[in-house]
Amino acid sequence: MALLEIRNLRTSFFTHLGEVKAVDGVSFQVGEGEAVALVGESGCGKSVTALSIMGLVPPPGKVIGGEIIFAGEDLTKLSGPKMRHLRGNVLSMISQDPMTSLNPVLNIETQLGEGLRLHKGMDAKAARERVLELLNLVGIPEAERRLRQYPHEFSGGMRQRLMIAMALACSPKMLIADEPTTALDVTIQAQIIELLKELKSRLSSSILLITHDMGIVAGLCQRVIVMYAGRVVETGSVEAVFDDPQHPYTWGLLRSLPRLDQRKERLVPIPGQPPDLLASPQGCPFAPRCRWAMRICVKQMPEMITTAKGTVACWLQELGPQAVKRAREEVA
Amino acid sequence: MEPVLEVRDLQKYFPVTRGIRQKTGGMLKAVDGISFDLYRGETLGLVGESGCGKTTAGRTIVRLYEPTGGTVRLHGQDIFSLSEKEMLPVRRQIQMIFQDPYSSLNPRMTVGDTITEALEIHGLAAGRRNERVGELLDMVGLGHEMAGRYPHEFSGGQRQRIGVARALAVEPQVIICDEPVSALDVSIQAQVINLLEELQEKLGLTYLFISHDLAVVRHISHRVAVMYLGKLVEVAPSDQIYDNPLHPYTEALMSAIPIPDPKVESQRQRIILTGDVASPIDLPPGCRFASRCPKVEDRCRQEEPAMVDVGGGHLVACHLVG
Ligand SMILES: Nc1ncnc2c1ncn2[C@@H]1O[C@H](COP(=O)(O)OP(=O)(O)O)[C@@H](O)[C@H]1O
Ligand SMILES: Nc1ncnc2c1ncn2[C@@H]1O[C@H](COP(=O)(O)OP(=O)(O)O)[C@@H](O)[C@H]1O
Ligand code: SF4
Ligand SMILES: [Mg+2]
Ligand SMILES: [Mg+2]
Repeated sequence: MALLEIRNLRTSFFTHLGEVKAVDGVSFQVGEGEAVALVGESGCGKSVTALSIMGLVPPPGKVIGGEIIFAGEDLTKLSGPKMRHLRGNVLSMISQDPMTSLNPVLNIETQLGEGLRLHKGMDAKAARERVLELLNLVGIPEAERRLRQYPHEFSGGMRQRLMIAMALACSPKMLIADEPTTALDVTIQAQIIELLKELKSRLSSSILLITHDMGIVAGLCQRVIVMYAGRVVETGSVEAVFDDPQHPYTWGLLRSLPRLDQRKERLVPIPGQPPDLLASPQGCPFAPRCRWAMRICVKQMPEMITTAKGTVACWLQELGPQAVKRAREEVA
Repeated sequence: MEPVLEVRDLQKYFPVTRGIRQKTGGMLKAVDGISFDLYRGETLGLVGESGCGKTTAGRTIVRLYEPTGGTVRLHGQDIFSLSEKEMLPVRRQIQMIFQDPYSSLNPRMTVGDTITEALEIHGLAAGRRNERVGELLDMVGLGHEMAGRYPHEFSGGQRQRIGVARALAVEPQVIICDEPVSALDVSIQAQVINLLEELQEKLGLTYLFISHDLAVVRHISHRVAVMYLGKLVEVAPSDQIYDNPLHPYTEALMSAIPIPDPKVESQRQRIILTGDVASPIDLPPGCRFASRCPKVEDRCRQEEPAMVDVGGGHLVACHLVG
């Protein structure tokens, strides 16, 4: 059984303009020790999905439907104190901006040791030992000296490491990393990605990596979930999604990318803009930007179907695999 | 061929103020002697990590910042020696577009008024300004019917098109693009990149394209200049920079960029840099990259390497090359 299984999750923000369906019927799984990427354009609901799992959706947002089964328990039904316990212990999240998770007035020893004393009942000495171990694990040099320092005394990359150390303090079963390297320079990003790879193999934690960088996905993850406008449009192994993508949005995403190792004459952008989540469409949310849209696409939402290599929600599938392939190859 | 723009030993230092008494504590050398030429119709990419001085270089070239030293010549004319009044025609020839077009657009002015203002300043299209605004909006793919709208009514990608339309209004020869697509999602980013490429072909524009994203820069640029802590470390035709990087920093930078292809990624060797970035306030005597360079030698810490031409328009500043 999967470590995390999300079924038909729906999370909305109830604003004065109306209901924003940020996550609109999302389902996916993350296996034990697996690294899964959640990708899609900004505003498509990646962070809200993560916050829903963590039980941290801010008002006026609310999880209004679905199940989040984590290690056999439905997190949507868990009480506040139980959820808090889970968060410190088996489920951790790191975000794009470390300063939102780090407390600026606590030194590193207190900051990282607090959870260990609280959740693991360690005494001060044991907590200190463990903090040193964690700092070494995430590659922060001169750990002893650093214990007494405050977050502002660390560089951007080092703060990100601190946050990872904090997220790992209680050896979580699952780490949710929301754009963990977006704010960092590429050479620092490379260090953090190496670190995540190492942690995955060493601690066998599951990772749900939220990113818009398909390059990071290709290098770090086993499976990919592609979201568009609050919905999952395609899932599959990394190989399947990159080599044989099924959804027109995924095609568009990959074609619009410039590549360091290739010279492309022209990029192929996706026309138009992502939709407004206030007005949820009747049919496929991608239809207004899809050059293959058929009459049925605007009328009726395509169901998620299982293919040879993954799942996809697109009416083109009704036409058979050859037609899908031809459509994909139409744009050179 | 004569370059359109010649930049020589460009310097921009900022005074450092420390403590409550605002005592000056030395100089922050944001741009510390960079030189390059820009030829008509080409795109020169300027890349490097945040804080290396790309934006400062761009802004100093157009004298949004007063230069500390060096010269910039536009068609042979030294523009740093011009008075503010004499600068006006120069400003028409060199325009700038920014990462965040929203902050550079007046929220209380319609898009049409913003562009009209640019035309008025330079006395252009007199008598047919509305028509010209419509043409420009069509040219950048927004459509003339958008002239009456306000910036907040547009998405990020559309705002960047407004920024491009405003820059084009004065019929410039050179456009300095400072991270113009960095804030955009990839699908929209590709729209704006294509627009810039099409406009270049149609109008013969010359771009200095500033970005931290090397994949974007490789795609759009004919030549690439790599910057590190206020200096250029390597300049080469873009294919050269990717196929045959010679500076250890360029090499590390290339190896760090993830490539969206699992097969390629699984084969890649990353050069992971360790060591701290030197401070632009307290620069080391030798090579600025020495503190992080995997190939560092003794002389690197003592002597600053000079830029040498290794042939084919490939320039490198490293003791180990040349
Ligand atoms: N606090 C909020 N109030 C209203 N709407 C919100 C709020 N937070 C997020 N949303 C909406 O939810 C959608 C999904 O947001 P998010 O999950 O942050 O996207 P991303 O995929 O970029 O992480 C967005 O379109 C946004 O409009
Ligand atoms: N107006 C300014 N005053 C003082 N320091 C500045 C100013 N603008 C930039 N700097 C400093 O100059 C250096 C280069 O900055 P910048 O040109 O913005 O780099 P980049 O665009 O490559 O990220 C940085 O150390 C930055 O902090
Ligand atoms: S369902 Fe129709 S509109 Fe949606 S992606 Fe498939 S073909 Fe395009
Ligand atoms: Mg997000
Ligand atoms: Mg900048």
